[in-house]
Amino acid sequence: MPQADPSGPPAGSSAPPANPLARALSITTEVHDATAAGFMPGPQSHTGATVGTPLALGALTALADAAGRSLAQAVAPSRSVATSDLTVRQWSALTAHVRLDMRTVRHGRSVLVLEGTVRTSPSADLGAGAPVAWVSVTLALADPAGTGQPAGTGPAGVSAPPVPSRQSADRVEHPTAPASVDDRQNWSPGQFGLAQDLEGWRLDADGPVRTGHGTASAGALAALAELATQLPPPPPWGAGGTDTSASPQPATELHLALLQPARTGPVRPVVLRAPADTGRAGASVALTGPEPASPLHAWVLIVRQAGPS
Amino acid sequence: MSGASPTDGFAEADPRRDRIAGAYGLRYEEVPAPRTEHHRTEPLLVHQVTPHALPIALENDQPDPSRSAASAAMPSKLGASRLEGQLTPGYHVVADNGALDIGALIGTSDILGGVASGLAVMPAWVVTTNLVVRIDRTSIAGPLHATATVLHTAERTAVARVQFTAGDEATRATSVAEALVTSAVRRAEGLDLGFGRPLRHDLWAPPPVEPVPDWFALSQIGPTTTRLDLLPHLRNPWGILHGGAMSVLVDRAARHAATSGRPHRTVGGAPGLPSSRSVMVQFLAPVGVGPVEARCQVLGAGATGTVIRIEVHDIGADDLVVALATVVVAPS
Repeated sequence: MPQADPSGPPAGSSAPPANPLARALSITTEVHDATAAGFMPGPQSHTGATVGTPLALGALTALADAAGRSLAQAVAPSRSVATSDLTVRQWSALTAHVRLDMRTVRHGRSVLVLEGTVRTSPSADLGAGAPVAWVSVTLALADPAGTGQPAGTGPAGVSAPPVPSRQSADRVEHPTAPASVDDRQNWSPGQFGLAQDLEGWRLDADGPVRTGHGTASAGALAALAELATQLPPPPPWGAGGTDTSASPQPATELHLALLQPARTGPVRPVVLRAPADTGRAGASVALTGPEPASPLHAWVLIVRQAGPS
Repeated sequence: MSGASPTDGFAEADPRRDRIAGAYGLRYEEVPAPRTEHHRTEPLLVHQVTPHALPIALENDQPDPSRSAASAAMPSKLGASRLEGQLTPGYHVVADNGALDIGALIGTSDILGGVASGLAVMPAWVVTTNLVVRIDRTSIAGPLHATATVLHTAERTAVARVQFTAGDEATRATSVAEALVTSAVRRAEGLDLGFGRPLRHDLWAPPPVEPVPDWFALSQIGPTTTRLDLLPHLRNPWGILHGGAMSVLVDRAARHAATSGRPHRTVGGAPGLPSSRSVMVQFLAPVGVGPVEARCQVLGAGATGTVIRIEVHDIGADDLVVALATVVVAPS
């Protein structure tokens, strides 16, 4: 059994991923050899309040990304891992807790390909129900930058996330969400580090959504893209939560290609819409920085159910 | 799989490559380009115009900001290369209902994305590792406008965006499909690529006369399994199965699996198979032996379609898994 990197959960153990976004969403992962199980509480939320709107696809993306990187750090403990492509396909609305069972399908010298099935699940340590979504994650493997720097840690000047403690394999911990996060919903924009201003939605990439590399996580970028494609535009998210009476048609497919890491914010979406056709509405989202010379961080393809015409 | 890279001198065109290009109604020519420090390219592709051609031209590395909202929003970020041109489908890639075969469109995405990425990373070359295509419109007869833009290049990866639109030249208002093609960047040292670089294709081969399933040597083994015989014309210059042909196999297999082989009435009224609406292919290993089998599993079905997972095996190579794919097929 290889020794896990200190920035990720040890192989064969259960621990919250070293990922603030995953912590904010109460995502936990359990890694065993070449498989992982991720768990995320559903829209019933941490405090038990029923919200009634389905889990956003961005939240599933965050689950896939967190579980994928935890698994990658366990199976390639000496390498630096970074998500490069991520696909989520969902065919049933999720209004309950979800469990992701993920496995390694290819472990190459410079690439790791994972896939997994999302099912409803009453809790992290109980059985899973019917499949509701499918995910695929491709991660790039590289030698850690610098000398002696372990995988998963950021470059000089960027603090590594807290090291999770080793726990027994049959125990899953639900960490408490940070106090600054609205804990009535586990997929509110604030928990993704998203905020709205006069220019629209933005992701403050230097906020609490960084990966161990100090870059914005794929889940946060996906959530930004998904939010930006909602029609009608969602109402402002304030302390009182969201007005669910104008819920957008749910996204059913999301593919994210990571291009250049986003270390500082804000990240802004540029949305290109494809006309709705036979029940589907496509959109593409370029995620870029605020300046004309800012790099292109990611490109996202999204499909939603088409709304009533 | 696609690639382009200059070395010294020209090489003869590989006729196999001509044939696979013809399968998609595609013609292209690669000519030497001046190397620049940042892998940027000058206009260098001039393509033949034939009745079955996709004449595409590489623009300068400064995109026209008026082309799209995306390029207008980030004119300084698309710095590598861009291919643009008209796609006039040949009759051999037209489906039963008279529309462009979606599998061929997906295959063309692989070609255009790969060529654009290959040009952007010269003198290295590329292999497609991940292909994602979102189909926005089916029952499109063409001609289509195709654009491939390299979004990002790095030491080991390149990502290209491929768009297909319909409409007149002024509008190009209807999105038909959009693809993201992620490629691994490879260096040619020590590898026998089977042909010299740069390439110069003197293309003119008559397009195949067979319909898509015959040209791609597809046969239905059962309701959830489709087989492709690895005929010589389906191999790329490296001698392995062309990524575009793999895409056609995956598309066809998923559509059969979604209907369990039952005929489906298409929009045009003719019996056929429902269209794929979204395809994701992960290329895991080269296919060198064959035959190749796509084995499908229905994962679930929702309002926007049936989700199919496909494992592609190279039977002759100890049944090696060579690709994984998921396809969303339109509801029946």
